[in-house]
Order: sequence, then structure tokens, then C-alpha cells
Amino acid sequence: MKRLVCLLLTFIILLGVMQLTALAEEERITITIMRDYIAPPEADGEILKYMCDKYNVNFEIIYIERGNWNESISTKFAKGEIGDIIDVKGLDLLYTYVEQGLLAELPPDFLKENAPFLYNEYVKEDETHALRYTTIDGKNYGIPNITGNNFHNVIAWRGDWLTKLGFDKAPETLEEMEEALYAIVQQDPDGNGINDTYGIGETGMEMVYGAYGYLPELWQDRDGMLVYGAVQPETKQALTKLAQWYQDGIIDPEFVTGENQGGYYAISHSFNNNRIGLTCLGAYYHWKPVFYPGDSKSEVYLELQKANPEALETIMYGTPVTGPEGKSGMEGSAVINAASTVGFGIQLQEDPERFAKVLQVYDAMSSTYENYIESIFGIRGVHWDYDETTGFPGLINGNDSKSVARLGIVSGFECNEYTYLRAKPRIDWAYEKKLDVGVLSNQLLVPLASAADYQDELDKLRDETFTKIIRGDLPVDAFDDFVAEWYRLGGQQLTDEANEWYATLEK
Amino acid sequence: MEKSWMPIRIIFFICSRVRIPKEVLVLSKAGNTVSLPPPKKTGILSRYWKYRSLVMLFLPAILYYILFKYLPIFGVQIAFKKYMFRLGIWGSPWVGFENFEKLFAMNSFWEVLRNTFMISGLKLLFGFPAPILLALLLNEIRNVVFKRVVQTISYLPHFLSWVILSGIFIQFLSPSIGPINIFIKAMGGRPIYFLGEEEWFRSVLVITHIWKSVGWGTIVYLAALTGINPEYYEAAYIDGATRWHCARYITLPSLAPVITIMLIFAVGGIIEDDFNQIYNLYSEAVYSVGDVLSTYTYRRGLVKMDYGFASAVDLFKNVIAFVLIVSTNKIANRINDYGIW
Amino acid sequence: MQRRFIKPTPGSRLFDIFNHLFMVLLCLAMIYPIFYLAMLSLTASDVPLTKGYLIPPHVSLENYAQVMSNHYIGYGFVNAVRRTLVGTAFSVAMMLLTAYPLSKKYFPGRRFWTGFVVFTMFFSGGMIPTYLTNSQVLGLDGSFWVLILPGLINTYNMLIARNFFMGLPEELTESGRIDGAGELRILLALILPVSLPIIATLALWSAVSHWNAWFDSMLYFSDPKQQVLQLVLRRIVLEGSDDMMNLGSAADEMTTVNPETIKAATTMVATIPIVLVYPFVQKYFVKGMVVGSLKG
Repeated sequence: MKRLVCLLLTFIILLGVMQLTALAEEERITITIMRDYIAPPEADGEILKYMCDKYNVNFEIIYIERGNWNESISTKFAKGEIGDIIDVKGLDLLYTYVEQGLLAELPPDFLKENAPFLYNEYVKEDETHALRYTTIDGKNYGIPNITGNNFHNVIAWRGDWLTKLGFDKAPETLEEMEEALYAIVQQDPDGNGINDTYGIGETGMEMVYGAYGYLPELWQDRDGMLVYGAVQPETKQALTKLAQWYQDGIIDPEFVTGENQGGYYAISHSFNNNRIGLTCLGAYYHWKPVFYPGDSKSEVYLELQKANPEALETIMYGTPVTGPEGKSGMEGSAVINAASTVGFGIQLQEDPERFAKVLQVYDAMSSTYENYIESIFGIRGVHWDYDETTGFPGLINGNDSKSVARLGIVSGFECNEYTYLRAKPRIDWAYEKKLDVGVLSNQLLVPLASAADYQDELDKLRDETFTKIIRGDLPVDAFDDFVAEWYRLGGQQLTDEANEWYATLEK
Repeated sequence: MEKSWMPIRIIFFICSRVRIPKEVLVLSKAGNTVSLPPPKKTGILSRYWKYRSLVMLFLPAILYYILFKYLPIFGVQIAFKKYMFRLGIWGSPWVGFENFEKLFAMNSFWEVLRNTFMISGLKLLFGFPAPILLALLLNEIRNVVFKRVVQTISYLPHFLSWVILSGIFIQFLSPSIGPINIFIKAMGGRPIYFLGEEEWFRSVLVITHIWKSVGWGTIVYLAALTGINPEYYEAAYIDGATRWHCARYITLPSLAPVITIMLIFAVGGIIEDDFNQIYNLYSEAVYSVGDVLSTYTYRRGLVKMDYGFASAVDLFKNVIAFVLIVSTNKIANRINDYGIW
Repeated sequence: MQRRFIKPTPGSRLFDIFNHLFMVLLCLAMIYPIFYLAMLSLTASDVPLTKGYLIPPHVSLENYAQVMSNHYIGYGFVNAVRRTLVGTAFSVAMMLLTAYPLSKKYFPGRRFWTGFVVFTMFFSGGMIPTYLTNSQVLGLDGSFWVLILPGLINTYNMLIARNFFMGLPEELTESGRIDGAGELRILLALILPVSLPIIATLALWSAVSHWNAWFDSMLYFSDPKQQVLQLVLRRIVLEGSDDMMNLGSAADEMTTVNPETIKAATTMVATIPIVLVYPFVQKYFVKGMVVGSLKG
């Protein structure tokens, strides 16, 4: 009898506990996620479950097809499915989404209250510093992605050729660059008896523009106003130089089809195949060596190792050459990464309690290094662990970024400290190669109202005209007509709008 | 026998060989038979009833078209609206012709339209007869195995996407390392930058398009060719016709129904362009001849999520295609009876 | 074939020689990219890809191994086959059923109904309205039939079939009617046996279309296990690439990329099955079937 009573009691207690846990689970809010996954997550993924349990919420991933992002997300929106947290791939899209009424307003105070860590990370000293970029008509609509390290692309010279031709270091001024390039073209550095080497392809041209101070694709500050690089008088000088070079055979005549001929986009076939002496295709993480087993990227390095080891060994890394007025530059990232912002679905605006909870969860996820690593790699000891020798977190047990994506990672926000901690060797390498020197970045960080109407046409006009001038199909003076045309076709409008915005920034 | 009488002899011969069952001849002479179309004065409903077994065969199709084609057509109104996801199709505000105005106001619109027609026109001119000719040539091959192998190989390019093909062609046509230019140089000529020069770009588009689609395009013609009564050929040979005579007076006319309808569709398709092909092969150097309607509007419509605009462009293209098809159809009907209507 | 009776004139022979030669050249021209892809797909990973090779120095099957080891390839294959078989069968049946009445001059409202179907070739709602209709009005979201039903009739192909029927001799139908058969029986017993070439053509077109389709699969299914092969393969290629808009994002900086060789291998895996279908279909392209049913 006693036995029976004990059993019954235990049973009742068990039931009670189950009820309680069920209640606790029922209280779990659901957070729907529309973010970029490298592979489709499975609904019952191990990591997803783990994250749900850890943060006591129901994460629900709405997969958006990576290769057809816009179509995929549009159909979801059309159906009425709006994620709680959404990857907005481009600041202009942010404007579009806000216009469509898809995003909730995120007042900075609300963010500060519920996500203090994120707030400090993304807002820093100046109260509304980074959030200015996601602020439209005085209201903030998301969290931008602040870029920590500002590097331009690699500037890689064929060191073996330079040495052979009598140069002992990478050119630092435009004059030196010209000298080196002419030597490469005229003096057969690869020693095969044929004059088949060119100086640069399309990527090498950027430095030339920069040497005069303005890059054709950027909006830059000139005496306190924003101006568009392509229509500055200095650009005409750059074009004159480039046209001259083309005529003298310095520029690869096939530059329009690009240095890359298919395959991984950052690899320069022209460079690897001894066709040109300088390339600026690829970022630091493409060119860096493999630092430790499991170190990712390094695509260009690995390919060069297989295809042209002599070239690899003798690469001279340069800095953007300085022009006659001492200016130089190549494009680097802007203050924020305009291509990746995070927005919150409009439904959260009507549910401040849940919105608060969402922010709190993501704050917790991002506020410590280990939490963050967990959110992108999974369970420690199962999917990742700290490497014994280097101390870096790395994927283990045969996992890679795709496999953990499939298991349902729920990524937090990466702050610069983490990036550095995770990727120290490569970032140090980039600084060592002086990739932070001479960076010019786009000062215009918001989409302009008229951009949709004019931008494509203006870009097309610019590309077409510049290509023709360089190739000699048009005289350099055609540039003046181009400038007038550019302003006439909408450029004036864009410049005015840009400066309207620029004036509102507290500098 | 004089050769110029050949066609007439063949036609007479065909007519004499077609055997019509005697009963039908008798019955039709008697007047009221089922093989005659009904007199027009009969009411609509009674006609439907009369031919109900035929109509029933068609009913599932009607259902299909209503559910899957006509139902979504209400969405065409997006072209006249500023489509907002949250308001839905019905709730989004009307903007009249604004989307169309945006399209026509784009600076290079006319240039782009011209390019579209030029490229499609050239593809039609050279690309339409190509599969027909190839089909005829294939038809002349006697060795079945050889024929089958050739056919299978000729289909292969159809299956490869332009993303892949463009990489291959860029290398192939390269002025420095491409085989064609190596050949030209060996012959003492100057290398031609096919993909980078305006004079050549269109030709490249047309030729690569033919290369990719000619094999697959022969299928329908080969199917039609097998439907030709071999007795015609037998008899023609007995009477001394050459292969050329056969091709011209038996084969081609027999293909008339298929060719007609394919041609009508092809003409209607002139406003279309092969986005994938052009997008993957073009560059700034050839924008002025290579930029077409779809490449030009793709960023605006799709990337910027302006579905009203995208819808307006589609509608514009479709109206033009429709007009073209109706006109071509009328012309075709004058020539033979195999038009769409 | 009808060439049993050819008098071997010199002109005829010459033509044959040139014809065969031309075909050989054609084959060489057309086979090059497939050959190139095949070689690329067999290239071992220690071979640099920026150098061009006709035949790679090191050959290996590792690319195929990597593609096939993807968890979803099996599902993708099964889903694709299922959809292709069912879809082709239904599509062909439906198209024949629709083309036949339209081919008869006495079909009531023939002009109207022809216009009815042709109209849909030009005017359609577009991606979003179609999606909304299929998923919300018709409730097909996530159902296998969403891969089959919306594309059931390809009007273009159906009209070609119609024209083919129109080219058949009228006596064929009449002889059936004399015997008192209804339209359906005429279609099944008389018209179809003689239409094997066009049926084979429709089947081929339909099968290829189904085999290559992936967009609908992407829109209507979220479970990766329900996707078709083409989508799985597309994802393999995309999973291994980061030339997306997100350049510079920290997460992308950590992902490793699939080389070109994998892309080539996925293309081969996608293409080979369907290319092999043609030889089997070929035997339906047989001559002279019309004659048989007219005699007597």
C-alpha cells in the first residue's frame, strides 16, 4: 500500500513538473528569422534546438533562397509573411522596405534599453553615429553593420619581373608606376622572346584615378560638399593618362571582358598566366596564406600556388600610387557595410513586449565572445572548439559553414572585437601589407530618392564613355560633353539630393 | 520528260494515290453526311449539343485555363499600380500609366528597343531556317546509328546554361588565346575582338544562339517528316525525280503546317530577348548594340523590387508580341490554311 | 526510309559525302563544351584552374564524390523523376486532348476557343499573382501537384500538336465516324496510333521541361527534402560561392568556396540523365504510319 502511494505521488509530481515545463515552453515567444543562410536549415536541426533551449524562445527560420533572394523574399512578403528579423541587402532596399511599410521603427532609446551591448557597439560615442544611416525621416529602422577594418583590395605586382627590370620595390608614385609598366611592356620580363606582356588590366586602373584624387564610382567630399567622382576635372586627367597608356600598349586590350575568365570571381587569369604585371583583383582574405589548418578563404593564394608558384613567391605588395598633387586612393569599405543591414518586421511595432524580448535575446547572443561564436558555429565540443595551438575557434568533426548552417545556426551580431579575435592572423597580415593605406570610401551612404530613376542610366553612360575614351574610340575631350550630359540626365538632381542629406549629418 | 512538269506530275500522282473509301464518296454525294460542316444558321447551343462528344474532350482544358491562367490574370493590374506588399494587389493604389511613362522616359529606351528588334530579327532571319535545313539534311542520312549519334550530340548544347557557355565562349573568342583568332593570325590576318567590338557583337549573339538551339529545334520538324507517306517518294523515284525534286515538292510542302505555326510564333517573339545569353556575354564596350529591354529593365524591376514597373514592361512586350502574332497570322492565312486562327 | 530506290547518281553520291562530312564537323563543334565540362569535372584538386588544359594532368572522381555526397541528392533525384514521369504523362495526355478538338474545323466556337488559349500566352499575371493564386486560392502550396498542374498545358506545344492533327487526312476521322465511333474513340483508336511522332515530341519537350524546372520547387516547398534535383544542384554551386552582394560581411569571409570543378560536375550530373532519354524516344519517330490505317 505504501508503495502504491509513493508511486502515485511520484507520478503526480512528475505530471506537475511536466505541466510546469510545458507552461514555461508555452510562454516561449516565437521569433521568425529571414536571414541569409549559406545552406537551407532543417526544421529539426540540432543547433536550432540548442539555441531555442538556451534562450528560451522558439526560433523559426524562414529560408530565403540565396541565389534568388529578391524573388524569394518578395513572394513571402506578398503572402503576408514578414520575418521578425530580416536581412536587408542594401541600404536602398532599406528605403524600399520602409516605403512598403515592412519594417518596424526602432527608436534608439528602445534599443539602448533592451540591447545595451549592441547599442554601445553600434552607436559608440556620438549618440546617433551609426544609426544615422538607417534613419529615414527622423526615424530609425534598423541596425547597420559597422565595418571595423577598412581595407582596399590587394595591390599585387610581379616582383620577379620588377626585379629583373631593375626595380627593387613596388612603385609608390604614379611616375614610378608608369616607368615600371612601360618597362614590363617593352622589355620582355618573362623572357620568352615575345612582347606579350601588358602592364595592367581593368583592376589596375583604379589607382590611376585615385592618384588624381577622385574615384569615378564614389561620392567624395570636396570643400564640404559631396561630389561625384566621375565628373570631376581630375578624372579627365586620369583618363588622358589611361588613354595614352592604352595607345602605347600598356593596357591589356581585352580588359573589357575582365581579368577573370570564369571560375572563382577573385582570381585573375590575366595575372596568373603572365599576361599582366599588376592586379588589384581580390581582397586581403583571398590573397593571404593559409595560416593554420582549417583556415578558410585564401582562394587566390592557393590557386597561384598551383598555377604559378614563382609569381607567388615574388609578389611585391604595393600601396596606391601618389599622383602629381600627392593624392592617392583605392576604394575601401565605408563606415558601414551598406550591403548588409538588419531590419525588424513591422509586426513588432505593434507588440512592444515581444520586440523588447527579441532585442534582449539578440543582445545576449552577441554580448559575449563565446555566445557569439556559438551562434555562428554551434555547440562547443560538437561542432567547434578552440584550436589548441592558435586559440582560434574552429569547426571540428568534419563540419564546415554549410553543414552548421543546415543544422540551424541563429547568428548574432558580430562586433569588431570578435572579428579581430577570430581572424587575427589575416587582419594582421592585411595591416602588414598596408592595405589600410590610401583608402577612399563612399561618403554617400543613403540611397537618394531619384537614384532609382537615374542611376542605372548614368552608370551606363559613364562606363560606356570611359571605355571608349580609354580605347581611343572617343577623344579625351569627349569627357566634357559627358559631364554636361551627366548633369543633364539627372546627375544634377542626384547631386542636390546628396548634398541635402550630407548637410544633415553632424560632422 | 521535261523537268518543269515534274511538280505537276507529282501532285497529280499524290491525288491519285490517296484512297478515299467509296462509301464516303457516295454518301457525300448524297448530301447530308456527318463529314460536312454544319450550316451556319444553327443556334450556338444546338451546335454544342450536336458535337457534344468533341466538346467534352475540351472541357478539362477549359477548366485548366480558367484556374491556372485566367485566374491570375487579375494580377495584370499591377502594371497600373504602385504595388505595395502589405496592401496586396487589390489594395495597392492606382497610378495610371506612370509605370509606362517611366519606361518610355528612360534615356536609352529607343536605343534599347532598337537593339532588341535588331538582334531578334537577325536571329529570326538566320536562326529560323537553320533547324529546318538541318532536319532536311539529317533526313537524308541513311545510316540509322550515325543519324542517332549526330542527333544526340546536336542536342547537347541546348542543355547547357549561358552562365557556363559564356565562360567557354569568352575564352574561345579571345583575341589573344582563342582558337579562332589563332587561326586568323596564322592566316596572316588581324585578330578580332569579337565580344568587345560593336560590329561583331550582334553576329556573335546570333551565331552562338544558332549553335545552341539548332539541334534541339530539329525535333519537331523530324517528327513531321516521319509523318510523310513514303509512297509519295517511291512513286516519285519511279518517275525519275531527283532527291532535290523530292525535297522541294514533297518534303517541304508536307512540313508547311508545322513551319507556318513555328514561324508565326517566331515573329511574335521578336520583342523577346534572351536575357541569360546577353547578360552573360555583354560588357560596356558593346552596350550600344547589346543592351536590350530585359537587361535594361532587370535592375529596376527585380533588384529594386518595383513590381509595378516590371509588370508594365512585361505588358508592353506582350502587347507588341500579340499584335505581331495576329498580323503574321493573317498573312499566313492568305498563303495557306495553317495559321493559328 | 525511302531511299531504297535511289539511283546512285554521281550527284547523289557527292551530296551524301558532303552531308556526312558536314555532320561530322557539326558534331565536333557541338561536342566541344560538353567535352570541356567533362574534363573539368574530372580534374583533380591539385591542378591549377587558371591554366588551360585540354586533358587535365591529374584525373579524379573526387568532384563527383563531393557532389553525390550531398545529403539531398538522393531526394532531389527521386523528386525529379517522380515529377517528370507524372508530369509528362498528364501533360501529354492533356495537350493531346486539347489539341484534337481545336484541330477540327467543325468544333463549335473554334475560333473563339483558339483565341481563348492563345490569349493566355501573352497576358499573364506575373510571378506574384500566379504565386498567390496557386498557394492561397488553390491551396497548392507544398503539395506535389503544384509541380504538375500549373504547367499542365504548354499552349505553344499544344498548338503545334494541333497543327499536326490538322495535317492528317480528314478521311481518317471520317472512316471512324462511319463505323459509328464517338470522338474519344476516334482519337484513341485512330488518331493517336498515327501520331506517335508528335506524341513523342510532346513527351520529350515536356520531360525536359520538368527535368530542368526548379523555380516552382523553390517557391512552393521549404523542406529541403522535397526539392528537385536541379535546385539541389544549384544550391551546391551557390553554397560554394560568395560572389553575392554581401561581400565583406564577416561571415562570408570565413566560408570556403567550391572550385569550378564542382560546378562542372554538377552540370554533368544534371544533364546526363535527360540526354540519355532521347535514344529511347527515337524509336517512336517512325515513318509511314498514316498509310497503314487508310488502306482498306
